[in-house]
Amino acid sequence: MDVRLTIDGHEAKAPKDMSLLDVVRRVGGEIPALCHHEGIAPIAACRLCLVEVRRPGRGEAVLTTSCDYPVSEGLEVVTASPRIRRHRAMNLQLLLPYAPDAPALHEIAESLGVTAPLFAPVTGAPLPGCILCELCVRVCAALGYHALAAIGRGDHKRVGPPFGRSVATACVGCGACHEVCPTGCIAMEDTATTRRIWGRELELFTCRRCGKPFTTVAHRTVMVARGDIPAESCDLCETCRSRDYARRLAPVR
Amino acid sequence: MTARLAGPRALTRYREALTRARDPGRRVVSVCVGTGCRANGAREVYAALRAQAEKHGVACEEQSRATGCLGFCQCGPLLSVAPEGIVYQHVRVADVPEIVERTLLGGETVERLLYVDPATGRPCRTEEEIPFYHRQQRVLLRDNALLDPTSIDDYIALGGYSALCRAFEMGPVAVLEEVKRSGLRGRGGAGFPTGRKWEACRDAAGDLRYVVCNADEGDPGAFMDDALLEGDPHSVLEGMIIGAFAIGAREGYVYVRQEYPVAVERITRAIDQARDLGLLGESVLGSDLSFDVRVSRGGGAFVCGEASAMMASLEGRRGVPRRRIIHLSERGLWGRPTNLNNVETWANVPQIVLRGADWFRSMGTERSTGTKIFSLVGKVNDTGLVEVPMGATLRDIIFGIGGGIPGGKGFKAVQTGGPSGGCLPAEKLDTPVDFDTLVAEGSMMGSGGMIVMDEDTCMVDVARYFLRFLASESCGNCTSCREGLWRLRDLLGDIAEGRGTRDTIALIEELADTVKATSLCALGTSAVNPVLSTLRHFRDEYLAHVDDKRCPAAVCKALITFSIDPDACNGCTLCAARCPQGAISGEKRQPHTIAPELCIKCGICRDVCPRDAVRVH
Repeated sequence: MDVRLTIDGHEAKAPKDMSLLDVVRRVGGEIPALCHHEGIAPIAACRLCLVEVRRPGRGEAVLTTSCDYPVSEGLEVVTASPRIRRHRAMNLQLLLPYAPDAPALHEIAESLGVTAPLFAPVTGAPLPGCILCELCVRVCAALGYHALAAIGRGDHKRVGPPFGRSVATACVGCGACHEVCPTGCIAMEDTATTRRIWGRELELFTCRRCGKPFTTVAHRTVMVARGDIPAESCDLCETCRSRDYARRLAPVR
Repeated sequence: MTARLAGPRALTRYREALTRARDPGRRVVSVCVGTGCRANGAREVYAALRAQAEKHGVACEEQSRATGCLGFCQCGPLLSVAPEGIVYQHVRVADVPEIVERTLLGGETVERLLYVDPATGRPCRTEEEIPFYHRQQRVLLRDNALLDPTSIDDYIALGGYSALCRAFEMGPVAVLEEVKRSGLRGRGGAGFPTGRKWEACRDAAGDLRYVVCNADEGDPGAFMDDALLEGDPHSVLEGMIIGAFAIGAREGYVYVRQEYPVAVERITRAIDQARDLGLLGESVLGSDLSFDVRVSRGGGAFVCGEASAMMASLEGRRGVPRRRIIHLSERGLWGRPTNLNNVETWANVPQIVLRGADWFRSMGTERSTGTKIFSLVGKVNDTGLVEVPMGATLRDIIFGIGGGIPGGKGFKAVQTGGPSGGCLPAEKLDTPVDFDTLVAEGSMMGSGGMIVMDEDTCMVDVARYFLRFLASESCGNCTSCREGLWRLRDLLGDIAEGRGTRDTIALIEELADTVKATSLCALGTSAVNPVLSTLRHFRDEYLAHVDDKRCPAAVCKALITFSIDPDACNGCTLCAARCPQGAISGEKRQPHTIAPELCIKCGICRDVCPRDAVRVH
C-alpha cells in the first residue's frame, strides 16, 4: 500500500512503512548517513540522518532520525532546517576525531559547512578509524556468519570478534564487512594464496577457469553448502561466472 | 511440600490454620537484614540472637526472624520486638544476650539501645515515637517488619493472596477498571498510567501475552526495588498474578539484576513456594487462570532498565534500546503483547484491589496518587528508605523525615530521579514531589532516588560524577550519547581542573542540547539533566571555577590550597604525623605549615585537626 507524503514541500508516494531515509533518497533528496544500508535493518546509530517530521493532527514538527522512521500517510518532512543542520554538525563533530581522514566524513562535513574540527583526533582507539556504525557486525549477521559483535558499552564500546577475542573464528573471509565499512578501517589483505582478516589467515580459492584467486576456500565451501547458486558457479570468479551465465543463456524460441 | 490449594476457600482455611497456630501475643524479635543493616553486621546479630535464644530454650523458629529492610538504615542494624513494637538501633552482637534476657524473656526495654530524638532528647521506644517513621505513610514497606521474606506462610497469615481472591471475585474487567480508576502511575520513572498500559496490552491482538516485572534497579544510591523484593517478594508476585489475570497473560518474567543476589534468591524462592501452593501454574487457585513466572537475571547494564533494551536482553540479545514504532503492549517480548511494570508498581496492585481505588486516590495528589518510596541518601542525618504520599514536599522528606543536614551544615541541593535527574536548590525545597512538578522543575521522579547535598558539595563535581556514570552506562548505540556524554564529562573535568573558560560552558550547553535532542532512548535524552540543571541553578559556581579559578565548595583539588591558620594551630603535631606526603612541618607546640609543592590535597590534616586550624581556599 502506498502512502502520500510531502518532502520539503514536494509531494511524494512511497510504500507504507518504508524507511523515510530510503524514500527521500529515492526521490533524489540528500540526507547524510553513515550507518545505513538499504538491505539491513536500521539501528540509527550515527544520528546524522536527522529530519523533522510532522504527522497530520500531531502539532509541532519533531526531530527524528529518518533511517528507522517508517513513512505514513500525510507525513510532512523537512530534510534541512537550521536545527537539523546544527545537530547533524555536532554529531559529525563527535565522529570526526575517530576518522579525521575518511572521505565519507569529509563529504558530509562539507555539505554541513563544518570547516574546523571541534575536537582533536582520538588516538589509541581499539580499531582506528572505526565510528561504531556496526555495519560490519550487521552485514556479517545478515549473511549468516555472526563472526563479529559489538562489545562493551558506553565509552568502552567497540566492534570485533565476539567476547573480545583476537580472532573472529566464525569468519569465512567473505570481505563483506570490509566492503560496507564507511571509513575503510577494516583491514583485509590478500597475498598470493591467503587472505588476512580479523586475525584469521584463510586460504584463497582460485577460479577453476582463469586461475585468479577470488574468495576464500571457507567462503566457497559455505556458498556450495547453501546452494543459493549452482555449485559449479561457486568455483568461478565473477568475470568467469558472468561469461558462463552468458554462454548458458537458453536459446530464444 | 504442601498440597496445592484448590480454591479461594482452601486458601482461607489455610490462613485460618496458620493464625490459629500462632499466638498474636507471643513475643517475636525481628532483625533487619536488609542491605544497609547487612553491611553493618546484622547477619551476625541474627545468628547470635538465634544461638542465645536457643540457650534459653526459646522456640527460635517462632520467636525470631530475619526480615527485609526496615528503612531506617542510618541506625542499623535494627531490631524490632513484637507485639510491643520496641525498636532497637545500632545493635551489636555484644548486645544480644541482654536483649534476649531482658526483652525477649522479661518484656523489659533496654533503654540504651533506643533511638534518641535529637530534637527533644527523649528516647523513642517504638516506631511511632521516632520522627523518621511517624512522618511517613508506609503502605508498601509496612509488612517488611512483620514477615520473614522466605516464608509464604508469614505472607499468607498477614492476609497475603487475599487480594488475588478478591480479584477472582471481581473478574478481570473490574480489576482493570479499579487499577485504572486508582490513578496508579508507573513507579519506574516514566509515570505512565498503569491501568491504561494494562488495557492496551489486554486489547492487543495475539493469544500469548506476557507480564514483566522490571527489577533492574541501577541508579547509584537507590534500593527501593531491592528492599521490596528482598523484604516482601510475595507482594510483588501477587501483583503480577493479578495483572496477568486482568490482562490475560499466561507467562511472566522478573528481570532482576544479578548484583542483587539476595533479591534473586528471595523472588525465586517466592515463585517456587507460590507454585507449590497452586498460586502459580496451571489453574491458579482452581480458577481458569494459568500463569507462571520465571526469573531472568540481568548483567548489570543500567540501560537494560529501558523497556526495549530489557526485551532484547530477555530474548538473549544485547541490551540495546530500539525505536518502538509499535508499542510494547502490542509487540513486545518475542513480538507478543507485553506489559512491563516496575517492582513498586506491581507491589501497589494487591493493595488497590483489596482496599479499592478510592482509598488509593485518598493518598497523594490529584494526578499522582498513592505513596512513593524514596531512598533518601547523601548528606542527610537519617538516611534510609522512606515512603510518603505523593505530593509531600522535598522539605518534608529531607528535614521532616530525614532530620536535616548533619553537622549543622547548610542544605545546598537535592538530586531526585537517579543519575539523570536534576539538582534542585534550596529555593525549590517546597516543591511537591510528584511526577509532573519535578519534570517542570527540570528534574524528574525517576524511580525514587533522592541524594541530598550540603554546602561542602561542588556542583561541577556532582555533574561530573553523574556524567562519568552515564558515559560508561550508555549502551553506545547513538553517537550523541556515546560520544557526547564522555565529552561532556571531560569538559566538566576541564572546568574542575582549572582549564575551563566561558567558551567551555558555551560548548557544554551546545553539546548537551544535541545529546538531549538527538539520542534515541531516555538514557541519552535525560543524561544531560545533571549538567543542565546545575548550570541553571548554580551558574555562579561554574563561573567561579572558570573566571576566578576558584571552587567555592573547596572540593576541586586543582583549584584549592590547604594551609594552617597559625592563630588556631596549637602545634599538637597530629597533622604532621598523619600527612601521607610528609608535607607538614613545625615544632611541637608551635604553629605548623604545609608545603604546597608536596601537598596532594587529600584533606587528612583537616579531618584530624582537633582545633579546626586547617583552612582550604
